[in-house]
Amino acid sequence: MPQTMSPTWSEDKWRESILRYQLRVKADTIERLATKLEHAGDFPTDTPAKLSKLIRHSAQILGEHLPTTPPDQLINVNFLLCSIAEHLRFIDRSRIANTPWSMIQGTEKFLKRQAGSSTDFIIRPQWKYNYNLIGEFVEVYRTSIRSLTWISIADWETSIEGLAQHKIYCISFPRVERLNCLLHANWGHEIGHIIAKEWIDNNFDQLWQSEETQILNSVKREIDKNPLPVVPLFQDILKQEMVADQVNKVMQVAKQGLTELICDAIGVQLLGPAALAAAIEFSAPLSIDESPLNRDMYPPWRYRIRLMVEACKQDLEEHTQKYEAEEVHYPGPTIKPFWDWLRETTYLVQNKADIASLNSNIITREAYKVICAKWQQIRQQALRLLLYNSEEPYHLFEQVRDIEQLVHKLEHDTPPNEIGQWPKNSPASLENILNAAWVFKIGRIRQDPKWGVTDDFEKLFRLVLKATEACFVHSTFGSKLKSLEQQ
Amino acid sequence: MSTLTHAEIEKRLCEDLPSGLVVTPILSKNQIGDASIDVRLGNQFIVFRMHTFGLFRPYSTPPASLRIMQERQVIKFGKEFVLHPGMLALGCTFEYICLPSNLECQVEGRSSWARLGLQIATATSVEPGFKGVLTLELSNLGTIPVELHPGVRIAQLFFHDAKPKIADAYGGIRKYKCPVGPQFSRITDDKDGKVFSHETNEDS
Repeated sequence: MPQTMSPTWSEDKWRESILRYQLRVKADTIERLATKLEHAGDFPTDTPAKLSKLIRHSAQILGEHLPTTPPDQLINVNFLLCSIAEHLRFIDRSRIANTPWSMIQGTEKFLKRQAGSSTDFIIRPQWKYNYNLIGEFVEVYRTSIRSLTWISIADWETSIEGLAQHKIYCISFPRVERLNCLLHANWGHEIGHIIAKEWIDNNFDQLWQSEETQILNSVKREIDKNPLPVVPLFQDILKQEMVADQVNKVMQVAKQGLTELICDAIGVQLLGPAALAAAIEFSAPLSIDESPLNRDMYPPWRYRIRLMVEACKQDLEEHTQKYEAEEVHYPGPTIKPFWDWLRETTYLVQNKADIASLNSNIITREAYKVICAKWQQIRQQALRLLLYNSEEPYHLFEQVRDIEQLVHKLEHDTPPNEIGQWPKNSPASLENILNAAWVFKIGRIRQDPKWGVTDDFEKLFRLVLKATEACFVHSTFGSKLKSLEQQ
Repeated sequence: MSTLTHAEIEKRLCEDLPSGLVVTPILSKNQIGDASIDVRLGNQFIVFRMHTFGLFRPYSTPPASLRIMQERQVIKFGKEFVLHPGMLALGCTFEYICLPSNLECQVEGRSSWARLGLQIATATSVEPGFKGVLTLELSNLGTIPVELHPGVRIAQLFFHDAKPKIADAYGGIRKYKCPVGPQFSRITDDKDGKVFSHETNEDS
């Protein structure tokens, strides 16, 4: 039997009261989960705990201000709480057991060198077969909290203590490749997203303005080639809509294309041929000439590889270098199988099927006409945004002797973590370790038909992972121990 | 069998692979003593989950279920691992070791730790040709918990010539190949143990 409605009952107020206590519980739960993760302690670096702290304080401040939250804003608070709750999964998945933990500290140190010491990275697996970069979290949270006018942004910044000046990103890698540290050379590309965003934010609009008129005219001409399937009265309106739509798509294709190409350029700049090799291997199961319109605006892989090959050009040529008064020939017998393999990419990029695919459509044709014309200038601008390796790219041909030593170690089942013989030894760089691992792997595959079973790969991964950890510890603690020797 | 002294150890460390001795990385030259090399504690440990397993029967427990009784822990450099009285944990050396075919080595705990009740290695002999980190059987025989930090000098390696040189040192099918962390017991692989085990002996 329906109850008689009270004259003071209001549906909005009734639902608001439910939402208010529900949000209180949600905020408390997120705060508790974040606290638990913050103190879990089983992470390879301190960054997951930092993100936990950011989430904990943000949930706490949202919860504390619920009594003063305007009713019409409760829905936004709910949205924000749900979003930050989702971020807990990045932390949860970055536990030691889920990651190639022995290379995480060394990798974060390497990435921080490029992105700045206040930039932190969480590295976590994802079941989706892809690498990507998510963030930056602190700024996203700051923007969201700032929009909630009843909360003081200064209070929030005080609550998260020193984190307000930090940047936190999350790099994801395919779970099934957890131990495949050679493929993780793709992380060079991912840090490129920070640089690419900076370049796009600061330069893309200007680039677009300078090209827009020409693109607009080209699109109009293309549309004019075919009669429109409407009565003449509506032709102008339809044409305008089509032009606007296609020009907008040209912009999206160009923007996404440039983003990925800048990332590739950064990857090669930092890691040299190891980045190219990882890209070749990653793209092996994919169609390499697919139009950006069919691939979420991503450039065709053949196009990307072509630009990476171009950036590695000097490593694909022969050189003679002076090395401690000795003439060293590059590639030399150790590196040659890998060098030959890399040079075969020039055959791959001579095929212009990707260009044909791009030219077959006005949108991709116009976008890539701009990219192609401006690429060298854009690449130089982007590389200058790197903090450390902006001027000098990694070149394999300059590292012949070191790479030979590291490969020699791998050939004898020894981690490639050191250059030189005792007592004149020093930790190898992450760049050299990864490149040596690729040289070894391709050399083995090419020279020994029996090599390449799972055990072989696992042993290689184990040794390389051990090497990255050993060189991190060596470079972090070695100098402190050396200073103790002198006391 | 002669023990290598400081000069000979350094000489062997300077030799190239595969005939040279590898202990890597040696972070401080102070690690090389008069007749030994100090090795540091690695950051991986295997501890036992006593609450998930009843009785360990070496010859009838399926190898896969052995995972239930062990838990791998990684402790960051700078953090600590606490070994409580009566507790056994498997640790490992931070250094990766490659022994040439004419050298064997003995692992001994450092006396400074022994005096705190810490026993470090019980399977102390390492055969010529071994490559990998060494698993350490850490147990606290004392009465107070001991805090261990990855990176501290934990044990000493004494090297002895093995004569004549072994042709295929540590070759063939071996239980522990190129490990980079502590290895759990593979006692279940011992075929001859099964002959004497009533667990698998149908006639018993």
